[in-house]
Amino acid sequence: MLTNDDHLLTRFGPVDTVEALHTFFFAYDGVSQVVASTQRLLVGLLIASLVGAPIGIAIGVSRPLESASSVLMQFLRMISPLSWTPIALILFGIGDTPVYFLVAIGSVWPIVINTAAGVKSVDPRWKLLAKSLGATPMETLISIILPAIQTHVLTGIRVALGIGWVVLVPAEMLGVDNGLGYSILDARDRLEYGEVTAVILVIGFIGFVMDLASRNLLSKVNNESLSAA
Amino acid sequence: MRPESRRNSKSSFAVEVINMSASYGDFQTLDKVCFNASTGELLCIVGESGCGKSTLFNVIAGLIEPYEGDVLSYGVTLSKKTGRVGYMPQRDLLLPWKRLISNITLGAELAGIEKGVAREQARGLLPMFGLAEFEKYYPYQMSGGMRQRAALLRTILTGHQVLLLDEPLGSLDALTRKRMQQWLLKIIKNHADRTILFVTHDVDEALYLADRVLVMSSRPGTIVYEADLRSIPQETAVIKRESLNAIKRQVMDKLGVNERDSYFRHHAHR
Repeated sequence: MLTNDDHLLTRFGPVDTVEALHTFFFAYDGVSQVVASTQRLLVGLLIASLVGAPIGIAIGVSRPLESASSVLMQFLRMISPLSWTPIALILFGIGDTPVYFLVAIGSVWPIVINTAAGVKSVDPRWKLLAKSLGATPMETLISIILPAIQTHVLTGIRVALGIGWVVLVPAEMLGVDNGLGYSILDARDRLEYGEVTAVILVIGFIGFVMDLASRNLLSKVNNESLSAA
Repeated sequence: MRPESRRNSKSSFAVEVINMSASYGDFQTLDKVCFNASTGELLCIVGESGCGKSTLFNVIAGLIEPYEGDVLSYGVTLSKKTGRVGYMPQRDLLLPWKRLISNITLGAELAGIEKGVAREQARGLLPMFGLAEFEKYYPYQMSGGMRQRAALLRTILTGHQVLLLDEPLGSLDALTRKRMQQWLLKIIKNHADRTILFVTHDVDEALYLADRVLVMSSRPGTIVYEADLRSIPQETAVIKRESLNAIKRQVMDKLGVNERDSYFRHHAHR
Protein backbone atom coordinates (compact mmCIF):
# COMPACT_ATOMS: atom_id res chain seq x y z
CA MET A 1 0.00 0.00 0.00
CA LEU A 2 2.75 2.40 1.03
CA THR A 3 4.73 1.64 -2.10
CA ASN A 4 2.06 3.29 -4.15
CA ASP A 5 3.40 6.83 -4.68
CA ASP A 6 -0.05 8.29 -5.09
CA HIS A 7 -1.43 6.95 -1.84
CA LEU A 8 -2.74 9.59 0.55
CA LEU A 9 -0.52 8.36 3.39
CA THR A 10 2.64 9.27 1.49
CA ARG A 11 1.63 12.87 1.85
CA PHE A 12 2.25 12.57 5.61
CA GLY A 13 5.83 11.51 4.88
CA PRO A 14 9.08 13.16 6.04
CA VAL A 15 9.94 15.14 2.91
CA ASP A 16 6.60 16.90 2.86
CA THR A 17 6.78 17.34 6.59
CA VAL A 18 10.07 19.25 6.65
CA GLU A 19 8.73 21.54 4.01
CA ALA A 20 5.43 21.83 5.85
CA LEU A 21 7.18 22.73 9.12
CA HIS A 22 8.66 25.67 7.25
CA THR A 23 5.25 26.62 5.85
CA PHE A 24 3.60 26.21 9.25
CA PHE A 25 6.05 28.49 11.02
CA PHE A 26 6.41 31.10 8.30
CA ALA A 27 3.20 31.17 6.29
CA TYR A 28 0.78 30.31 9.08
CA ASP A 29 2.58 32.03 11.92
CA GLY A 30 3.29 28.80 13.81
CA VAL A 31 4.87 30.66 16.71
CA SER A 32 1.65 32.43 17.58
CA GLN A 33 -0.24 29.11 17.32
CA VAL A 34 2.22 27.62 19.82
CA VAL A 35 1.88 30.67 22.06
CA ALA A 36 -1.93 30.49 21.93
CA SER A 37 -1.92 26.80 22.87
CA THR A 38 0.65 27.20 25.62
CA GLN A 39 -1.26 30.10 27.07
CA ARG A 40 -4.49 28.04 27.15
CA LEU A 41 -2.63 25.16 28.76
CA LEU A 42 -1.18 27.42 31.44
CA VAL A 43 -4.50 29.09 32.21
CA GLY A 44 -6.18 25.67 32.43
CA LEU A 45 -3.42 24.37 34.69
CA LEU A 46 -3.58 27.47 36.86
CA ILE A 47 -7.31 26.96 37.35
CA ALA A 48 -6.74 23.25 38.06
CA SER A 49 -4.05 24.11 40.64
CA LEU A 50 -6.07 26.84 42.33
CA VAL A 51 -9.06 24.53 42.62
CA GLY A 52 -7.23 21.22 43.06
CA ALA A 53 -4.61 22.07 45.70
CA PRO A 54 -7.09 23.47 48.29
CA ILE A 55 -9.45 20.52 47.71
CA GLY A 56 -6.48 18.15 48.11
CA ILE A 57 -5.43 19.87 51.34
CA ALA A 58 -8.97 19.68 52.71
CA ILE A 59 -9.22 15.99 51.83
CA GLY A 60 -5.79 15.28 53.31
CA VAL A 61 -6.59 17.10 56.56
CA SER A 62 -10.10 15.78 57.14
CA ARG A 63 -10.70 12.05 57.34
CA PRO A 64 -14.52 12.36 57.07
CA LEU A 65 -14.13 14.47 53.93
CA GLU A 66 -11.72 11.91 52.52
CA SER A 67 -14.15 9.02 52.95
CA ALA A 68 -17.05 11.13 51.72
CA SER A 69 -15.26 12.25 48.58
CA SER A 70 -13.29 9.17 47.55
CA VAL A 71 -16.06 7.47 45.54
CA LEU A 72 -17.11 10.70 43.84
CA MET A 73 -13.47 11.51 43.05
CA GLN A 74 -12.73 8.15 41.45
CA PHE A 75 -16.01 8.40 39.51
CA LEU A 76 -15.29 11.88 38.13
CA ARG A 77 -11.66 11.07 37.45
CA MET A 78 -12.59 8.21 35.14
CA ILE A 79 -14.74 10.38 32.89
CA SER A 80 -12.86 11.44 29.77
CA PRO A 81 -12.46 15.23 29.98
CA LEU A 82 -13.76 15.55 26.42
CA SER A 83 -17.11 14.07 27.48
CA TRP A 84 -17.71 17.41 29.16
CA THR A 85 -17.51 19.22 25.83
CA PRO A 86 -21.27 19.70 25.22
CA ILE A 87 -21.74 20.91 28.79
CA ALA A 88 -18.70 23.18 28.47
CA LEU A 89 -20.09 24.73 25.28
CA ILE A 90 -23.51 25.29 26.84
CA LEU A 91 -22.00 26.77 29.98
CA PHE A 92 -19.27 28.92 28.46
CA GLY A 93 -20.21 29.34 24.78
CA ILE A 94 -17.62 29.40 22.03
CA GLY A 95 -14.10 30.71 22.59
CA ASP A 96 -11.22 30.16 24.98
CA THR A 97 -13.25 29.57 28.14
CA PRO A 98 -14.55 26.06 27.32
CA VAL A 99 -10.96 25.07 26.41
CA TYR A 100 -9.72 26.32 29.79
CA PHE A 101 -12.53 24.35 31.41
CA LEU A 102 -11.72 21.11 29.57
CA VAL A 103 -8.00 21.37 30.31
CA ALA A 104 -8.74 22.19 33.95
CA ILE A 105 -11.24 19.40 34.49
CA GLY A 106 -8.86 16.89 32.91
CA SER A 107 -5.81 17.93 34.87
CA VAL A 108 -7.32 18.73 38.26
CA TRP A 109 -7.39 15.12 39.52
CA PRO A 110 -3.69 14.35 39.78
CA ILE A 111 -3.26 17.64 41.64
CA VAL A 112 -6.05 16.80 44.10
CA ILE A 113 -4.83 13.24 44.63
CA ASN A 114 -1.14 14.12 45.01
CA THR A 115 -1.85 17.03 47.32
CA ALA A 116 -4.08 14.89 49.55
CA ALA A 117 -1.45 12.13 49.63
CA GLY A 118 1.18 14.75 50.48
CA VAL A 119 -0.82 16.14 53.39
CA LYS A 120 -1.40 12.65 54.75
CA SER A 121 2.29 11.81 54.56
CA VAL A 122 3.40 14.85 56.61
CA ASP A 123 5.27 13.54 59.65
CA PRO A 124 2.75 13.84 62.53
CA ARG A 125 5.63 14.68 64.87
CA TRP A 126 6.23 17.89 62.91
CA LYS A 127 2.63 18.86 63.52
CA LEU A 128 3.02 17.99 67.20
CA LEU A 129 6.17 20.09 67.35
CA ALA A 130 4.36 23.07 65.85
CA LYS A 131 1.51 22.56 68.28
CA SER A 132 3.89 22.38 71.23
CA LEU A 133 5.38 25.67 70.05
CA GLY A 134 1.89 27.14 70.34
CA ALA A 135 0.95 27.11 66.64
CA THR A 136 -2.73 27.41 65.73
CA PRO A 137 -4.06 24.98 63.07
CA MET A 138 -3.75 27.75 60.47
CA GLU A 139 -0.12 28.46 61.47
CA THR A 140 0.63 24.73 61.31
CA LEU A 141 -0.82 24.68 57.82
CA ILE A 142 1.31 27.61 56.69
CA SER A 143 4.57 26.77 58.49
CA ILE A 144 4.57 22.98 58.31
CA ILE A 145 2.03 21.43 55.95
CA LEU A 146 2.35 23.73 52.92
CA PRO A 147 6.15 23.58 52.70
CA ALA A 148 6.15 19.86 53.45
CA ILE A 149 3.79 19.02 50.58
CA GLN A 150 5.56 21.19 48.02
CA THR A 151 7.09 18.21 46.17
CA HIS A 152 3.83 16.30 46.15
CA VAL A 153 1.94 19.26 44.69
CA LEU A 154 4.62 19.85 42.07
CA THR A 155 4.54 16.16 41.10
CA GLY A 156 0.75 16.46 40.76
CA ILE A 157 1.14 19.54 38.57
CA ARG A 158 3.72 17.72 36.44
CA VAL A 159 1.32 14.84 35.80
CA ALA A 160 -1.46 17.39 35.22
CA LEU A 161 0.70 19.15 32.65
CA GLY A 162 0.89 15.98 30.58
CA ILE A 163 -2.83 15.35 30.79
CA GLY A 164 -3.64 19.00 30.09
CA TRP A 165 -1.48 19.02 26.97
CA VAL A 166 -3.15 15.85 25.69
CA VAL A 167 -6.64 17.27 26.34
CA LEU A 168 -5.78 20.67 24.90
CA VAL A 169 -5.34 19.59 21.27
CA PRO A 170 -8.81 18.04 20.76
CA ALA A 171 -10.32 20.81 22.87
CA GLU A 172 -8.87 23.33 20.43
CA MET A 173 -10.69 21.58 17.64
CA LEU A 174 -13.95 23.10 18.88
CA GLY A 175 -14.85 26.71 18.57
CA VAL A 176 -11.44 28.44 18.57
CA ASP A 177 -9.64 29.86 15.56
CA ASN A 178 -6.01 29.45 16.53
CA GLY A 179 -3.74 27.10 18.44
CA LEU A 180 -2.17 23.77 17.56
CA GLY A 181 -5.38 21.73 17.69
CA TYR A 182 -7.04 24.21 15.36
CA SER A 183 -4.00 24.13 13.06
CA ILE A 184 -4.37 20.37 12.56
CA LEU A 185 -7.99 20.74 11.50
CA ASP A 186 -7.16 23.75 9.37
CA ALA A 187 -4.34 21.90 7.58
CA ARG A 188 -6.61 18.93 6.98
CA ASP A 189 -9.29 21.18 5.53
CA ARG A 190 -6.71 22.69 3.19
CA LEU A 191 -5.65 19.14 2.26
CA GLU A 192 -2.12 19.99 3.47
CA TYR A 193 -1.41 16.61 5.01
CA GLY A 194 2.29 17.26 5.42
CA GLU A 195 1.38 20.18 7.62
CA VAL A 196 -0.78 17.90 9.77
CA THR A 197 2.30 15.78 10.49
CA ALA A 198 4.34 18.91 11.06
CA VAL A 199 1.92 20.15 13.72
CA ILE A 200 1.82 16.69 15.33
CA LEU A 201 5.62 16.81 15.58
CA VAL A 202 5.48 20.29 17.10
CA ILE A 203 2.90 19.09 19.67
CA GLY A 204 5.05 16.11 20.64
CA PHE A 205 8.19 18.19 20.81
CA ILE A 206 6.66 20.90 23.01
CA GLY A 207 5.11 18.27 25.30
CA PHE A 208 8.48 16.59 25.63
CA VAL A 209 10.29 19.83 26.39
CA MET A 210 7.69 20.89 28.98
CA ASP A 211 7.90 17.54 30.74
CA LEU A 212 11.69 17.67 30.75
CA ALA A 213 11.62 21.21 32.14
CA SER A 214 9.12 20.33 34.87
CA ARG A 215 11.09 17.21 35.79
CA ASN A 216 14.26 19.28 36.14
CA LEU A 217 12.47 21.87 38.20
CA LEU A 218 11.08 19.15 40.45
CA SER A 219 14.41 17.46 41.04
CA LYS A 220 15.96 20.87 41.70
CA VAL A 221 13.36 21.57 44.38
CA ASN A 222 13.97 18.10 45.83
CA ASN A 223 17.72 18.45 45.92
CA GLU A 224 17.60 21.88 47.37
CA SER A 225 15.65 21.21 50.48
CA LEU A 226 14.24 17.76 50.91
CA SER A 227 17.25 15.51 50.58
CA ALA A 228 16.91 14.36 54.17
CA ALA A 229 13.16 13.97 54.27
CA MET B 1 26.11 23.95 91.83
CA ARG B 2 23.18 25.64 90.18
CA PRO B 3 21.09 28.16 92.10
CA GLU B 4 18.63 26.94 94.65
CA SER B 5 14.98 27.70 94.36
CA ARG B 6 14.33 31.40 94.53
CA ARG B 7 10.67 31.01 95.22
CA ASN B 8 9.45 29.23 98.27
CA SER B 9 5.69 29.47 98.38
CA LYS B 10 4.02 26.33 97.11
CA SER B 11 2.12 28.04 94.31
CA SER B 12 5.26 29.40 92.75
CA PHE B 13 6.93 26.21 91.67
CA ALA B 14 8.08 26.38 88.07
CA VAL B 15 6.42 23.02 87.56
CA GLU B 16 3.96 21.43 89.91
CA VAL B 17 2.43 18.09 88.98
CA ILE B 18 -0.43 17.27 91.33
CA ASN B 19 -1.84 13.75 91.50
CA MET B 20 -1.95 13.64 87.74
CA SER B 21 -3.20 10.61 85.82
CA ALA B 22 -3.38 10.42 82.05
CA SER B 23 -3.86 7.90 79.32
CA TYR B 24 -2.52 7.58 75.83
CA GLY B 25 -4.89 5.83 73.48
CA ASP B 26 -6.57 3.04 75.42
CA PHE B 27 -3.82 2.66 77.98
CA GLN B 28 -3.52 4.39 81.29
CA THR B 29 0.07 5.54 81.14
CA LEU B 30 0.36 7.78 84.19
CA ASP B 31 -1.03 7.11 87.63
CA LYS B 32 -1.23 9.89 90.23
CA VAL B 33 2.11 11.41 89.35
CA CYS B 34 3.20 13.95 91.93
CA PHE B 35 6.33 16.09 91.95
CA ASN B 36 7.48 19.65 91.62
CA ALA B 37 10.43 21.62 90.33
CA SER B 38 11.70 24.96 91.57
CA THR B 39 13.02 27.70 89.34
CA GLY B 40 16.48 26.87 88.06
CA GLU B 41 16.35 23.20 88.97
CA LEU B 42 17.30 20.39 86.62
CA LEU B 43 15.19 17.31 87.22
CA CYS B 44 16.05 14.07 85.52
CA ILE B 45 13.22 11.59 85.13
CA VAL B 46 14.46 8.05 84.68
CA GLY B 47 12.34 5.11 83.64
CA GLU B 48 12.30 2.22 81.26
CA SER B 49 10.89 2.57 77.76
CA GLY B 50 7.13 2.91 77.61
CA CYS B 51 6.73 3.97 81.25
CA GLY B 52 4.89 7.11 80.24
CA LYS B 53 7.73 9.63 80.32
CA SER B 54 6.76 11.04 76.95
CA THR B 55 3.10 11.15 77.97
CA LEU B 56 4.15 13.12 81.05
CA PHE B 57 5.88 15.66 78.82
CA ASN B 58 2.95 15.78 76.43
CA VAL B 59 0.69 16.64 79.37
CA ILE B 60 3.04 19.37 80.64
CA ALA B 61 3.30 20.74 77.07
CA GLY B 62 -0.50 20.87 76.91
CA LEU B 63 -0.74 18.31 74.11
CA ILE B 64 -2.58 15.69 76.17
CA GLU B 65 -5.21 16.45 78.76
CA PRO B 66 -4.92 14.55 82.05
CA TYR B 67 -8.13 12.92 83.26
CA GLU B 68 -7.22 13.46 86.86
CA GLY B 69 -5.12 16.00 88.72
CA ASP B 70 -3.40 19.02 87.22
CA VAL B 71 -0.10 20.49 86.09
CA LEU B 72 0.71 24.03 87.18
CA SER B 73 3.45 26.49 86.41
CA TYR B 74 3.70 29.28 88.97
CA GLY B 75 0.14 28.52 89.98
CA VAL B 76 -1.28 28.61 86.45
CA THR B 77 -2.56 25.41 84.87
CA LEU B 78 -0.69 24.12 81.83
CA SER B 79 -3.15 21.49 80.69
CA LYS B 80 -4.84 22.12 77.34
CA LYS B 81 -2.60 25.11 76.73
CA THR B 82 0.21 24.74 74.24
CA GLY B 83 3.09 27.11 73.69
CA ARG B 84 3.74 27.74 77.40
CA VAL B 85 6.84 25.60 77.80
CA GLY B 86 9.80 24.78 75.57
CA TYR B 87 9.50 21.17 74.45
CA MET B 88 12.32 19.31 72.77
CA PRO B 89 10.99 16.00 71.49
CA GLN B 90 13.00 12.79 71.25
CA ARG B 91 13.97 13.28 67.62
CA ASP B 92 15.43 16.62 66.60
CA LEU B 93 12.50 17.17 64.15
CA LEU B 94 14.34 19.89 62.29
CA LEU B 95 12.32 20.81 59.21
CA PRO B 96 14.25 19.59 56.16
CA TRP B 97 13.20 22.50 53.97
CA LYS B 98 14.44 25.17 56.37
CA ARG B 99 18.00 26.33 56.87
CA LEU B 100 19.45 26.13 60.38
CA ILE B 101 18.68 29.75 61.20
CA SER B 102 15.01 29.40 60.22
CA ASN B 103 14.70 26.10 62.02
CA ILE B 104 15.93 27.46 65.32
CA THR B 105 13.75 30.55 65.11
CA LEU B 106 10.61 28.53 64.29
CA GLY B 107 9.19 29.07 67.77
CA ALA B 108 9.77 32.79 67.53
CA GLU B 109 8.23 32.85 64.06
CA LEU B 110 5.11 31.11 65.39
CA ALA B 111 4.99 33.47 68.36
CA GLY B 112 4.83 36.38 65.91
CA ILE B 113 8.23 37.83 66.81
CA GLU B 114 9.71 39.83 63.96
CA LYS B 115 12.11 37.74 61.85
CA GLY B 116 15.07 40.13 62.07
CA VAL B 117 14.84 40.42 65.84
CA ALA B 118 14.52 36.64 66.32
CA ARG B 119 17.46 35.93 64.04
CA GLU B 120 19.66 38.51 65.72
CA GLN B 121 18.99 36.89 69.08
CA ALA B 122 19.62 33.43 67.63
CA ARG B 123 22.90 34.47 66.01
CA GLY B 124 24.18 35.61 69.38
CA LEU B 125 23.80 32.07 70.71
CA LEU B 126 25.13 30.14 67.69
CA PRO B 127 28.82 30.15 68.75
CA MET B 128 28.03 28.72 72.19
CA PHE B 129 26.19 25.90 70.45
CA GLY B 130 29.06 25.26 68.07
CA LEU B 131 26.89 26.25 65.12
CA ALA B 132 28.31 29.65 64.22
CA GLU B 133 29.52 28.62 60.77
CA PHE B 134 26.43 26.64 59.86
CA GLU B 135 23.64 29.21 59.86
CA LYS B 136 22.80 28.54 56.20
CA TYR B 137 23.01 24.74 56.37
CA TYR B 138 20.07 22.47 55.78
CA PRO B 139 19.50 19.72 58.37
CA TYR B 140 20.70 16.98 55.99
CA GLN B 141 24.06 18.71 55.80
CA MET B 142 24.53 18.55 59.57
CA SER B 143 25.79 15.76 61.85
CA GLY B 144 23.61 14.12 64.49
CA GLY B 145 25.26 16.09 67.28
CA MET B 146 24.81 19.38 65.44
CA ARG B 147 21.16 18.61 64.81
CA GLN B 148 20.56 17.88 68.49
CA ARG B 149 22.30 21.11 69.49
CA ALA B 150 20.18 22.98 66.96
CA ALA B 151 17.00 21.39 68.36
CA LEU B 152 18.07 22.37 71.88
CA LEU B 153 18.79 25.91 70.74
CA ARG B 154 15.34 26.05 69.13
CA THR B 155 13.86 25.00 72.46
CA ILE B 156 15.86 27.57 74.44
CA LEU B 157 14.98 30.32 71.94
CA THR B 158 11.28 29.85 72.66
CA GLY B 159 12.17 31.93 75.72
CA HIS B 160 10.02 29.80 77.99
CA GLN B 161 10.89 29.47 81.63
CA VAL B 162 10.31 25.71 81.68
CA LEU B 163 12.14 23.43 79.25
CA LEU B 164 11.23 19.80 78.64
CA LEU B 165 13.98 17.71 77.09
CA ASP B 166 12.87 14.23 76.04
CA GLU B 167 15.96 12.02 75.70
CA PRO B 168 17.77 14.77 73.83
CA LEU B 169 20.96 12.73 73.56
CA GLY B 170 19.27 9.39 72.95
CA SER B 171 20.00 9.17 69.24
CA LEU B 172 23.71 9.96 69.47
CA ASP B 173 26.66 7.59 69.44
CA ALA B 174 28.35 6.95 72.79
CA LEU B 175 31.31 9.25 72.21
CA THR B 176 29.29 12.21 70.94
CA ARG B 177 26.89 11.61 73.79
CA LYS B 178 29.59 11.93 76.45
CA ARG B 179 30.85 15.12 74.86
CA MET B 180 27.32 16.49 74.61
CA GLN B 181 26.64 15.75 78.29
CA GLN B 182 29.61 17.85 79.35
CA TRP B 183 28.62 20.59 76.95
CA LEU B 184 25.01 20.45 78.13
CA LEU B 185 26.06 21.10 81.73
CA LYS B 186 27.84 24.25 80.56
CA ILE B 187 24.81 25.41 78.59
CA ILE B 188 22.53 24.78 81.55
CA LYS B 189 24.78 26.85 83.81
CA ASN B 190 24.47 29.69 81.30
CA HIS B 191 20.71 29.48 81.48
CA ALA B 192 20.43 29.01 85.23
CA ASP B 193 17.09 30.81 85.36
CA ARG B 194 15.43 28.08 83.32
CA THR B 195 13.83 25.08 84.94
CA ILE B 196 14.63 21.89 83.07
CA LEU B 197 12.90 18.53 83.09
CA PHE B 198 15.06 15.97 81.38
CA VAL B 199 13.90 12.48 80.49
CA THR B 200 16.44 9.73 80.01
CA HIS B 201 16.70 6.00 80.39
CA ASP B 202 20.42 6.31 81.11
CA VAL B 203 20.93 6.35 84.89
CA ASP B 204 24.54 7.52 84.63
CA GLU B 205 23.47 10.43 82.46
CA ALA B 206 20.81 11.36 85.01
CA LEU B 207 23.26 11.23 87.91
CA TYR B 208 25.75 13.26 85.93
CA LEU B 209 23.40 16.06 84.91
CA ALA B 210 20.64 16.34 87.47
CA ASP B 211 20.03 18.33 90.61
CA ARG B 212 17.38 15.79 91.46
CA VAL B 213 16.60 12.39 89.99
CA LEU B 214 13.08 11.01 89.86
CA VAL B 215 12.47 7.36 89.08
CA MET B 216 9.29 6.36 87.29
CA SER B 217 7.76 2.92 87.60
CA SER B 218 6.70 1.00 84.53
CA ARG B 219 3.22 1.60 83.12
CA PRO B 220 1.11 3.05 84.51
CA GLY B 221 3.99 5.30 85.49
CA THR B 222 4.27 6.97 88.81
CA ILE B 223 7.18 8.46 90.76
CA VAL B 224 8.61 5.75 93.01
CA TYR B 225 11.89 7.26 94.10
CA GLU B 226 13.47 10.66 94.39
CA ALA B 227 17.08 11.58 95.15
CA ASP B 228 18.53 15.05 95.67
CA LEU B 229 22.05 15.00 94.32
CA ARG B 230 22.83 18.43 95.73
CA SER B 231 22.64 17.06 99.24
CA ILE B 232 25.26 14.36 98.82
CA PRO B 233 28.34 14.86 100.96
CA GLN B 234 31.22 16.47 99.06
CA GLU B 235 34.00 16.20 101.65
CA THR B 236 36.24 13.88 99.69
CA ALA B 237 36.09 12.28 96.30
CA VAL B 238 35.73 8.87 97.93
CA ILE B 239 32.76 9.92 100.06
CA LYS B 240 31.14 11.56 97.03
CA ARG B 241 31.64 8.45 94.95
CA GLU B 242 30.22 6.23 97.64
CA SER B 243 27.15 8.43 98.06
CA LEU B 244 26.55 8.48 94.30
CA ASN B 245 27.06 4.75 94.25
CA ALA B 246 24.42 4.31 96.93
CA ILE B 247 21.97 6.52 95.01
CA LYS B 248 22.64 4.64 91.81
CA ARG B 249 21.98 1.33 93.55
CA GLN B 250 18.69 2.70 94.83
CA VAL B 251 17.71 3.98 91.39
CA MET B 252 18.65 0.71 89.71
CA ASP B 253 16.80 -1.21 92.37
CA LYS B 254 13.65 0.84 91.79
CA LEU B 255 14.00 0.25 88.06
CA GLY B 256 14.24 -3.46 88.76
CA VAL B 257 17.82 -3.70 87.51
CA ASN B 258 20.66 -4.96 89.64
CA GLU B 259 24.01 -4.42 88.12
CA ARG B 260 27.02 -2.43 89.01
CA ASP B 261 28.33 -0.07 86.46
CA SER B 262 31.43 2.02 86.17
CA TYR B 263 29.91 5.45 86.40
CA PHE B 264 32.77 6.62 88.62
CA ARG B 265 34.79 7.70 85.63
CA HIS B 266 32.58 10.52 84.55
CA HIS B 267 31.74 11.49 88.10
CA ALA B 268 35.34 11.91 89.11
CA HIS B 269 35.18 15.55 88.04
CA ARG B 270 31.65 16.27 89.17
